[in-house]
Amino acid sequence: MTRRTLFGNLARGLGGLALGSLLPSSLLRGNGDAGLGRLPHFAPKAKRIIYLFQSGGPSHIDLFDFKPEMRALHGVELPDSVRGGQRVTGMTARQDSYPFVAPFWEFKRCGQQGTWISDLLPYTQKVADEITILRGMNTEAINHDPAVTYINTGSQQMGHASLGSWLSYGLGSANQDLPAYMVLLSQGSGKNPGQPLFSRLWGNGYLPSNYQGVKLGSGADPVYFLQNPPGLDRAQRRQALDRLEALNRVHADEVGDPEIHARIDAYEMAYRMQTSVPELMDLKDEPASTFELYGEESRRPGSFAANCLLARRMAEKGVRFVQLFHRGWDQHKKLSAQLPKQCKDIDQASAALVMDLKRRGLLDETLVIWGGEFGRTAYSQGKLGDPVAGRDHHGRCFSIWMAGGGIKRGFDWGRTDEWGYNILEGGVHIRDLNATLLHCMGIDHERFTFKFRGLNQRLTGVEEARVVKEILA
Amino acid sequence: MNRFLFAFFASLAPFAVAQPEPVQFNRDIRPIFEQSCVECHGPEKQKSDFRVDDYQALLKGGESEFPAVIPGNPVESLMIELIHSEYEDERMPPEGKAEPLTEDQMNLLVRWIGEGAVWEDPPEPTVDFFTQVQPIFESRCYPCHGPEKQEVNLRTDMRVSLLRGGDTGSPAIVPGKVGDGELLKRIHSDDPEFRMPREGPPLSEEERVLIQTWVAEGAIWPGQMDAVEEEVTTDLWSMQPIVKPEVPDNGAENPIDAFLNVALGEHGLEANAAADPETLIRRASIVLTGLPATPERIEAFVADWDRSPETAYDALLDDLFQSPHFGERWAQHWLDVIRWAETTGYESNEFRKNAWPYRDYVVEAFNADKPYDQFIREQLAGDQFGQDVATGFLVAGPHAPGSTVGQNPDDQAQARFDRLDETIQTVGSPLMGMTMGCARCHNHKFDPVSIKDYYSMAAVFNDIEYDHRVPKWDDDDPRMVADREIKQALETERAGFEANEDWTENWTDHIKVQFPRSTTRSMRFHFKPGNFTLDEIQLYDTADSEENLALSKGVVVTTSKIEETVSRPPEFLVDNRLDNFFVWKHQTGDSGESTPWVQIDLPKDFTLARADLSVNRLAHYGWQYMILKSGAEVKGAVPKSLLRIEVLDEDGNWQTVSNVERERTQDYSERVKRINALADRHVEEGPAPIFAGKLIEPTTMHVMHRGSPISPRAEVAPMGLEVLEGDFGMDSDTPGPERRIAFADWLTRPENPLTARVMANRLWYHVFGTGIVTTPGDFGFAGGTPSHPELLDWLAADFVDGDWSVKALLRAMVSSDAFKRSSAPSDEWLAIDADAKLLWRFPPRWLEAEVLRDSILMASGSLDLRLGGLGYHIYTPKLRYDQWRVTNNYGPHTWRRMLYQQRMRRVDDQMFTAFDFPSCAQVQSKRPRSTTPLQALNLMNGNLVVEQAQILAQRVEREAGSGLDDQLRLMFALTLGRAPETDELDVTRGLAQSNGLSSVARALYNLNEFFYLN
Repeated sequence: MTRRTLFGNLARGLGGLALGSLLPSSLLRGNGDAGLGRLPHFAPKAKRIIYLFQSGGPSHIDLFDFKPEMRALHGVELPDSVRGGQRVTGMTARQDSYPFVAPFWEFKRCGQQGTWISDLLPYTQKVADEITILRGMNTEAINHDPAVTYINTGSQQMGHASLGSWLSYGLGSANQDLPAYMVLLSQGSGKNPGQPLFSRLWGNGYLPSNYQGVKLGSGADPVYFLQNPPGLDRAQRRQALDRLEALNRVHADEVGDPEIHARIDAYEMAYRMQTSVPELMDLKDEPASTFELYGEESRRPGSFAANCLLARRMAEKGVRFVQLFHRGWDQHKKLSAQLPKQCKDIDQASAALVMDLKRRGLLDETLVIWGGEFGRTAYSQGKLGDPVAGRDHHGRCFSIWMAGGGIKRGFDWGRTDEWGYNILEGGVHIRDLNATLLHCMGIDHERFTFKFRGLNQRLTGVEEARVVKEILA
Repeated sequence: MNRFLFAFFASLAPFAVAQPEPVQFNRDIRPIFEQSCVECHGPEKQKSDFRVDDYQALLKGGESEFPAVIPGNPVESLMIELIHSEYEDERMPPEGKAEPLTEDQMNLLVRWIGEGAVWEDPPEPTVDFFTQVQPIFESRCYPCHGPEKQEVNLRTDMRVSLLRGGDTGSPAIVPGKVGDGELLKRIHSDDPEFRMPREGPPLSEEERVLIQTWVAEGAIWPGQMDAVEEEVTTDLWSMQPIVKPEVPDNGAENPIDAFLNVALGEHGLEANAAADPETLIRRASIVLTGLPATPERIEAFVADWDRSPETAYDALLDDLFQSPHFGERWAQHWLDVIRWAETTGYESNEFRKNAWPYRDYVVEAFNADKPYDQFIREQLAGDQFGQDVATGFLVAGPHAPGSTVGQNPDDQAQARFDRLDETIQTVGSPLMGMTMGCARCHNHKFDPVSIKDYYSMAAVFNDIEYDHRVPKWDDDDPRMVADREIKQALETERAGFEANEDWTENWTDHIKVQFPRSTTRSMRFHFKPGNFTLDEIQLYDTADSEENLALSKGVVVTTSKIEETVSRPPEFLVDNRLDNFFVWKHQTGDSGESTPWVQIDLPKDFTLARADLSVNRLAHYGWQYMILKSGAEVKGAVPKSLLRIEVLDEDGNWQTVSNVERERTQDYSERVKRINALADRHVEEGPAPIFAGKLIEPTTMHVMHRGSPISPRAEVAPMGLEVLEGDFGMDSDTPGPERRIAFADWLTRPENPLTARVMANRLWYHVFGTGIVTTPGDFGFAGGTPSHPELLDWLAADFVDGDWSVKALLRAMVSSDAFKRSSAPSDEWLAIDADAKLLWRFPPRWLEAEVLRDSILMASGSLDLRLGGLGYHIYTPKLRYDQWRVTNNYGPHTWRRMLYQQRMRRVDDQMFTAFDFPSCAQVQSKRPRSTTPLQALNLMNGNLVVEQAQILAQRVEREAGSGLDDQLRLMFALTLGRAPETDELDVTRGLAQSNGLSSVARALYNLNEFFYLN
């Protein structure tokens, strides 16, 4: 069929649309709003996820993984049996000594179960009863780029689909007016600049490209050009778009490229974002108590705290997956000076998000995750006691916390040895974490696949992954 | 024979009497030779044609033809003179090659010659390898480093493996040297982490002595003394030799089609027919020049096509290949690949002033169809081929300026190796298709690239620093003409001063203090009290010399108060680096007393006539668009605090040679004014430094254990990849430029299997949208394999046979039936080959950001097609550590091709970043193609589109007459290159009538068809 004949048919439809009515929303193919139809596999505990990703590798040992006996071990050479042939990065492999460094700060037993949380995180300490801390997280990757790619896309190699794009592909959007997967970046004050973040971390990989995360800018103007040009009102914009869409669909059939449909959908989403994003960003309706809860920093656009507040607002509007990336956790050096700043960036707002969701009745259906791509070594990078010293990357164990949507409240899972170096029990590989996240969203990770290059690809890859049933409420 | 030696021998006489025992060669002298001499003058190397392991050679001497050793006559023996020389550059052993000889060792050598220089052959070995050493190896080492297992690639059952050592590149044993070699160090260590063997108890004392003696005696291993290591080989497809395959005989005219048709046939696919001429001219124009064809050209082409498709298409290709915009298009691809940008990246992300000449060089190279092998040679060593600008390639990547790194030597070493790493990445993936980065810390996991290869490559580029350099221009270049003219005028003016006069010239970024020629070893600079900073002090022996004597070895800098050195050591005042500025900050202390001075002590007497002092030369040479907190633009500044300069005379008195405050005549002042005006002119019109890398003296390169620059292991020579016969026979003394030339020659020799394959594939990727290898930057095991291996080899071989002509190879591609095919879909074939990898259709694709922007401007008639020069700037000037912020990315000053939008690393340009314009932080062989609502918003409402739509509407009103339909037809022709269908005309007419013509223009700019190549 040629454009000439096809166009004739469509142009007639076009005339009708040009009368100015909006398309009925059921006809709008939003950013994956339809989902796959056959998902979820079972009743989900969570409707959405807010992932507070801490990029760079937060030091589990200084924040969550404390044992009182560590104090006595300070300065003791890490026994070979503990370190046993571990792959370390080039930065400490040359060291001829690996002295254990006890956490730099005091810890408190928090919440009813008396879990240890560092004094660097006073607000997080207060929400101990709402969260589950996983201390047995682990990954094989030891460098940032592969590790961040791994935890976000299930593979250390580039080209795979990110968790958020899987979710928006599988479940679609619960809000027609905003993308199903939104990404917000912030730079921490601990290490500036932190590791670079690449768009593949929220990319669609082999999934159609309308499922990739939409990254908002981190300034005062997170989305450019939301305003129609002067003299064009919203009805005229609608008209213009209808014409454009009709013309474009002709071209789509001529070319036979699914990406063309993605672009048509993108125009529809753009149209809706013209009103939904200003609503989302307009904090005028937030009472002063909100800013008290999240901290003054939340008034500064682009800060982690402001992004947490935005994440809550997106959750309220039904955005399926909100992912914050906060950089600056890579304390190879000057850990004692950098880590307090880095913690101050995130502590109040992370805890506030949990409390805020709770008081709005959203926590039960919103899964919140706080964590990075790996942990940091128990031993010192650089000379013990040197203010310049820090800790190297450590994938054998690290700590994260989760809250809400289907996760136990006030619970600990996983235990490491007295050095905070190896897992003793309750190990959770990052594949297991992703399987568990999907499970909370009502998805069986083994049955959630996409055929690409002759393989049934899945987020958890080919190796076995296990849903961590123990932490489920 | 110098005074010093006489004195030495005078002192020696009584000493000799007191020491009756004669010197024994094997016991006393041989160890000195082995420790300090044989490395350069022995079996491996014979520097200056001299060796110490052969008695006749000692007697004969080296190329100087003076005997090194004259038995009985130490005073006349050259060896004795050279070990005592007071001149560092001739003293043996040279600094850095071996530890200086101790006084005892020097005495022994003198006495040995004095006693007749009796030679002894090497002693018979006392240790038998097979019965005494091998059993230890077998029981204690073989389990991990033997025939079965070779941890860290080391095996103790082969002498060559021990000589070579494991992955660190440092040898396990060095025959004759018990102080070197990992093996002895490790068996003697009591650190359980380091000690070998790691399992079980340490070796016994007796075992250790046996092994040590065996090494000391030359590690004699009967049967393996001449063993050579097996050549490194690989079965990696891309490293196999290129053999030009036979073109399949299947009737296809173009060899490319002949290969493609074979694969199509194998999969039972039927290829599409040729596209219509309108599609074809758009496709060819955009692929080759990045610009759509004008309506007139399309019309002419379609008319020609109706007469003869072949002739029409040939003529079109002639036009496109001759278009100056061809070079712009392919330069854009090239700059992407090497992530060239005009800011430093990292935290300060400073603008690199005068980096753009490299961009223009690339445009010109593609336009001139510079043979690709020559293109590579110039980019790696253009300083040697009269193409200075071309080495901008080597410094294309990001770098952390030295001034942001701090003064900790470890941090500085790390930063230097980070910069070298960027250069290695720029060479590795774009030119060789090899991701070298992994090998910085360990042997590459997949590919035949070792850590030694990595550091050998680092040695190749170790004379390049990320900095500016004044290029050599042709003599008739206007800059050089101005240079000569102004220098002549300066000479005349300077000659007009009274003899013994001193004066100070103002050169925008530094002052030249001219004073009467004085011979001295020490200079002092006195400054006015109060706060001020200094960057550099340079010393010269004439008014216009360019040889900075302050860079001589052994210069010592001291300053009035060490506390005044804020954050940087005073030596940085003579470090010859632009990016270490504000080195010395003088601050008045609490006492309020302030008498600042800087003293420079020279290693010997120098005659001096000029001192150049600066505050921050980088501000003038290297920065652009930078402001101070006050909002004022950062400009070149000169030190204003200098009071006077003194030199130390023979009698130890300080003599003032320049006094800024002295009263001067009017004549004098006017002369200085005229000189300053000439200096200003020279800065404006003369040759300015460009960002093409500074040439520095290469340091000796070592394998850095696990990538740590403070863990040097074995020394490495400049080399290409070992597996591809990359040994150039060079060493650490080879001058830097020769290394780079050798490396370029190695890359471009026809036998190199990577270079031609990688480029042929890259060109294919840009033509067809997918590479024959889908990972154009990775031809290693982790990358893709060719979908059409024979075709790729044929293209690569043809490329080399055709003298590396890029245009010829591209022409072969775009002349193929495959390129000319329609892109119409077919459900049947899509099911078999969805990506059209087999090219049954021309695979449709989105256009890049640049093509989109250029097309918008071209349709409206706004596009200024002038080539080259300083790019357009869309950001506000910034503080040094601030972010770049867009101020105007759409106004008339931006109406050039987007190639000329200044490329800033990691900066959102608020329009095309959403269209995957690269961040220039990483080497990127392919652009991702994303589709997001943000793109739609930018194109619907962005300033650029809104404004250009109005201009396009005005244009068609102006050019198409008053009829609306004619105006719409012209608008379709200008944007889509075709006439509107009747119903399209109906719809757009309605839109124009209700919302105005510019609404139609916006709609067309937003059409998929506008943004699509099919």
